[in-house]
Amino acid sequence: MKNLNLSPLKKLEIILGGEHQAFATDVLDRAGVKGYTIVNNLSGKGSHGFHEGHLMFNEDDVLIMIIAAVPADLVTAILEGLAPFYNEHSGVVFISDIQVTRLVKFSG
Amino acid sequence: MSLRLGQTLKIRAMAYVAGEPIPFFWPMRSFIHHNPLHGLEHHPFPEAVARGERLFQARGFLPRSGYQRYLRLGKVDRAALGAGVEAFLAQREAVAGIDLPKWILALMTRMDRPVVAGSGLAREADVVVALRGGPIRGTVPGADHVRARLREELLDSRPVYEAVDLLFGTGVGAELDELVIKSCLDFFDEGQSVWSMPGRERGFFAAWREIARRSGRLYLRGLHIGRILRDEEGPEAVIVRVMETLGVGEGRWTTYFTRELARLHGWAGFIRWRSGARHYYWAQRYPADLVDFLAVRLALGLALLGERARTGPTTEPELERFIEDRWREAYLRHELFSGAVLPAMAARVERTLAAGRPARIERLYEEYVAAKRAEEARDQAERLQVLAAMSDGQEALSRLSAEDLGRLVGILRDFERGEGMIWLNAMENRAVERLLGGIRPGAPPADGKRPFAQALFCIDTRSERIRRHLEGVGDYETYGIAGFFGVPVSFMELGKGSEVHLCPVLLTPKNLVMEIAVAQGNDDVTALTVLEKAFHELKESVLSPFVTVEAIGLLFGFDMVGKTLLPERYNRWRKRLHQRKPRTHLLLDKLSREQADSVIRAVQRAVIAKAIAQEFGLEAEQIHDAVVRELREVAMGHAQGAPKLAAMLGLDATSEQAFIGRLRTVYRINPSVVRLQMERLGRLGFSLDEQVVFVAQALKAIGLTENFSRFVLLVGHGSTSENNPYESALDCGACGGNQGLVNARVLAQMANKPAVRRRLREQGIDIPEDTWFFPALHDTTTDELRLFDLDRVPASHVVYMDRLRKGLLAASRLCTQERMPTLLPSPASLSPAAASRYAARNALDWSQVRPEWGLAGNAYFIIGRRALTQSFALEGRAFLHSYDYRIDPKRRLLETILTGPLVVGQWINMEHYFSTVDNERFGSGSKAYHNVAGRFGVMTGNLSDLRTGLPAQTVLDRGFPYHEPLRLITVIEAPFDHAWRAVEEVSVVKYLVRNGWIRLLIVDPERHCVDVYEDAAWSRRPFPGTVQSQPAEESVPS
Amino acid sequence: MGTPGLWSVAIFLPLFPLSVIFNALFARVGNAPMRAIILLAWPQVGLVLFGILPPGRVAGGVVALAVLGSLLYAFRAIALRDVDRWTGYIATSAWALLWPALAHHAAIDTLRLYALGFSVPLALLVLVADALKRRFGAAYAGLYGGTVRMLPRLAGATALVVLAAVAVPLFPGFFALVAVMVTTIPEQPWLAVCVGLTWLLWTWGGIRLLQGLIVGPGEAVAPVADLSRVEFGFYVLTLALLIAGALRLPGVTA
Repeated sequence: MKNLNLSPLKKLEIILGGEHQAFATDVLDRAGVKGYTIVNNLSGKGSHGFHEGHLMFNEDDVLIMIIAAVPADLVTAILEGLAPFYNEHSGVVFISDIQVTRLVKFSG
Repeated sequence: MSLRLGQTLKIRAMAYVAGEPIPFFWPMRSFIHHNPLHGLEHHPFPEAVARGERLFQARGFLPRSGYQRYLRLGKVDRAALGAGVEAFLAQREAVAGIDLPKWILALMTRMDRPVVAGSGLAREADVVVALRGGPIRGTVPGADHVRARLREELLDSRPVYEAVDLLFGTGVGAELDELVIKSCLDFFDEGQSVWSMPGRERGFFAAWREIARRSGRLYLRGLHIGRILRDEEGPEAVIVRVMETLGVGEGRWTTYFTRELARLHGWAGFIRWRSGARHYYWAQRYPADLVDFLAVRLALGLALLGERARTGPTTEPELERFIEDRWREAYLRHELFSGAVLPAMAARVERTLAAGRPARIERLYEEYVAAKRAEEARDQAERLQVLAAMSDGQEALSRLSAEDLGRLVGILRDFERGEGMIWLNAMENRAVERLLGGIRPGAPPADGKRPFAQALFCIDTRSERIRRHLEGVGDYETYGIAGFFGVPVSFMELGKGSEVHLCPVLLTPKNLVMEIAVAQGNDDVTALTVLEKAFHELKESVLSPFVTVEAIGLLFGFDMVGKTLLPERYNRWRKRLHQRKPRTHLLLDKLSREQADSVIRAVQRAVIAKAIAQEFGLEAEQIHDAVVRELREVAMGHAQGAPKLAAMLGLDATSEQAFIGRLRTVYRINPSVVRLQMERLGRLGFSLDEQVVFVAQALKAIGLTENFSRFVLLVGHGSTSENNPYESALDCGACGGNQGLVNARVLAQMANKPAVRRRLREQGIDIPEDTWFFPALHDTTTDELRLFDLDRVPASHVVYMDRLRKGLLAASRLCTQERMPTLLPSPASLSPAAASRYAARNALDWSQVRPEWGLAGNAYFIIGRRALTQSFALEGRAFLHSYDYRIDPKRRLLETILTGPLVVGQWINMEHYFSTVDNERFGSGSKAYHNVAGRFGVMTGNLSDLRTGLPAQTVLDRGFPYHEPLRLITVIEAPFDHAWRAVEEVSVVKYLVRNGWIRLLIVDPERHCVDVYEDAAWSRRPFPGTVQSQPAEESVPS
Repeated sequence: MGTPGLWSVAIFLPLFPLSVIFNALFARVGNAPMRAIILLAWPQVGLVLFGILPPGRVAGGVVALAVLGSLLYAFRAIALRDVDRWTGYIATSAWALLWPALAHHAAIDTLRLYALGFSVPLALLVLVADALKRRFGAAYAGLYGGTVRMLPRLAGATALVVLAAVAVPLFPGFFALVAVMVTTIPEQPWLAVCVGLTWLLWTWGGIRLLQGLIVGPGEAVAPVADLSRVEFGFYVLTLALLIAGALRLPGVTA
């Protein structure tokens, strides 16, 4: 087995309502993210707490999750771009550290 | 200035969030009814209406006089009014000596203007003095109070230029709107104008910037737009720069953007829809989104404000300073230019402000405020006295102390704010009562007889009438199903090159259906069509009008006179001159791979033959088949040279290769194009499995799985009208604003296929041999029922066709007889023949602004068996969807009905509701002033925002509401658990119910009771009119 | 022609800057019938004074001053929303236009009729404004539009009277204006252009006034009474008589 060249990246898991998919992918496209994966038809439970916007009972809304691996320098920009959205809508973004083997697929 | 990536993305997100409360606007070629407050649907109904009122500067309920009129007409439940008032007062303390319930009821039912008025300047003590008739004195409000109010009025909630307009009487807002609308009309035009804007492919902002920098009109105005738009800056950078120049805090940008968008919410809604419609042809060629729109608007706004920069404050910090330092002047200015000024002092205020001397302004302020306070106190006292007179409380009023008076006024003010909901609930209660008094739950009598014909109609409210009459003329059974019959298709009409989606806008069809002519139609176009085209093209050229008016103008005049004076005869004569559309068949079945391949080969051969004919000028008989075949092989890369061609024409090597190259590129005979074509052909048609599924679903959804009659009619609907931009609003909403005939033909063809029937039999749906499915069209303007695809009918049915036709004709005429009096200026009864003629004339008259009432009057959505409503005349006010809970144990069918047709019904209902309560802001005003804009919308006058909603002629009748503004009263006929669990599982409908956007009733046919969802709780009542066999809510002393 | 005499005439056939005297006086008087009488009498006084004074040539400069002053007042009237002030300005503008005809040695009697033709619609307008004031508190455009829906007779009277005041054809003001233009064309054609421009500005101001008073959604105010049939008939009759008179107005000959 050859030596795997692992490069560190950040993984973003963006969970939001399915109707906003186009918006989120547009943000990622404009940030220059090369590709992403969309997981459909999730369900989950959310907390209320945003101002009067939503009636949240047991949340079995249809959610999607967009998984993207981005270089660390793009993370702040993407989060800044998503912040106004999450001020008004439910959902969450998870950021974790990952490693990938073929860096060229994700950045550059 | 170039923004960081993060800032750019942030602006885009802000624009996205800001645009969410603005409803979509679909192009009117396929008009979609939708809820204007759709973006606010996650709030409860009363709150959403309040927000919508603030955002769109509109009214969310009828004015009190409207409801009083309904009260007089008996459409309001007085008991419910009283209950509503009691509920309101329950949390409020009584006021000494005042009979509050009586006062408030008198206010509601007898007073036609608000009882609490004024800007709050007059205090309770002043009002008390005024009541006793004395002179009013007192101190003027202090600086802080005035400053706070001014800040609240001007700065918190308005764009900067609106505040400037209110303080200085300028027309910056109106002018800005005009400039933005003109830019939008230029860019978004879809072929209406002959000269189009250059550079549109680069996007809205880029194209506009190029023009704006060179715009003579803007330059003459003195707007130095060039200073605001720098080179190569994206729209986000412009937005940031403008907002920073205006000095607005970043936390408020999103709200600011929403206010900006709401000023032209028609255009904003259109751009919002368009930027998300990926398959829209014009959006693909000329992209634009809300960020571009905001950038254009903000840049122009700043330029207009910049014009005024020397004469007054134009940014938020400057405005704040102005309010802070010159608050008296600001107060007077605001009074004058917002129209709230005391009329008697108006001229003086104007003159003093114009002179601008601070000492005089101060003196005037003191005088003015004293005068206004006195005036308001007198006015308030007078209104209270009027109300007191109506409720016999004059004495009690005169004895009130200032404090009690203040409490009374506060209670009345709170009440007036929430009055609309009480009226709405009372009206809905009456409507529910009426419905419950007429429907009959319980199993239909199973007499086992085979009906003569069964007809499936759309759930549209207009079907209700004709269904009733059809059932009345003979042995017919009718069912209600969504207008697209559950089959979403993408349709390519004969001779057209583009597809139309025939399904609700929420779905995307996966199958394409094509139409082909049965007989070989003429390829030659008739002379008349050519002439018509030439005339209309002449109209669009610039120079020709000068010449052609004299030459052929008279012909157009002839047309106009004919259409106006003799609409029926003239239109019939003209139709005869046109080439009749040939009989067509629909290609429904999927092509096998070999079939697809043959189709492609045939097309390629035809193209090659034409190419040879064009390039070398040969006649058809000179082109040999072998040559064509050889060329095809070469172009596809299977062979190298084309010796036969070269020999025939004497070509040398280079021209031979050149020709082959052209075949590959220009005529697109190459392998990758073939792959694309195979993919597209793969979309064509439905596989056998798909066909079985669609037919089964349609039949099960309505509960028709046995006892099929000989004729099963699938009746789609459409409408006919002339000169009507809202034509598509009268067509079937479930088919995306088109006619439902094609879907009917598709489903009928599928259901008539023996292979499909065989598979259905295996599933348990046994369709007898002699049952035949007929597609039909219900023209809702003339109520005509026409049958189609009659060339396929088996011979055995021909014998009965006469009886069927007679029945359909009788039903049509009786239906028009019932319906026409509603369209007449004064009610009169007509004979069926006269009514039919009148209806036909409506369809052809190009001056008729109201060819039919359409869906106006819709109030109920009933999901259940026909037996529930059969004996009740619902006057065309109900959406009726057939449903039999006994064959739907897993609730799947009910959920499908709830997700699709019910949501569409709610959109239609809310569209009509808001267009009725405020036709100027939520609706589109009078049709008489409409002008088509860019081919996708209408404006009022020559320049205005895109009008959204329904026109006045659709929902109002001579100024009064014709459509009763109620929320959709939904009835599900099923056991309570069954229905409630289905609702819970469809989250869209669950929230609509919980937030109070629809009123849900569940009629349990087995236990004979009704459950009503009101105020977030269920209440059960026995079914009115049935024997009290089950335990009542409270025990009755025996 | 003597200068003091000219000065006195210039007060009554307002020449800028003496026109401020008229406008100040007009603004002060509050009683509507009084103001109507002032409107009718003021130019007549000026013409009588002119007749008394010894005959002489009116300097060309005076004519130019009159026409330019007229233009100025018409321009200032466009932005006015207060009907009373507007009436005053239009009156000033109209009467100043009599100077070219005076310089042309037109018959004083003809000019008297012209002045009356200008004054009568304005006097009617004062009465209409009074009617508005009694109902709404002020005759002020833009405060309470929509009278056409609630008070159709009053709105109709307002519209007709304003149109008469801005010298729409068939009313005497129009013929007077045309006559004045005809006199100025031979010598100083640019003055004729100015007179035309003045007329344009009158109509612009008039329409703006009507826009603010008549059309619009209309506020929900306490219900007020419309003009009675008799009152409305009075306005219509007066205007009809004006038209009849205008058609028989003598012209100005060289």
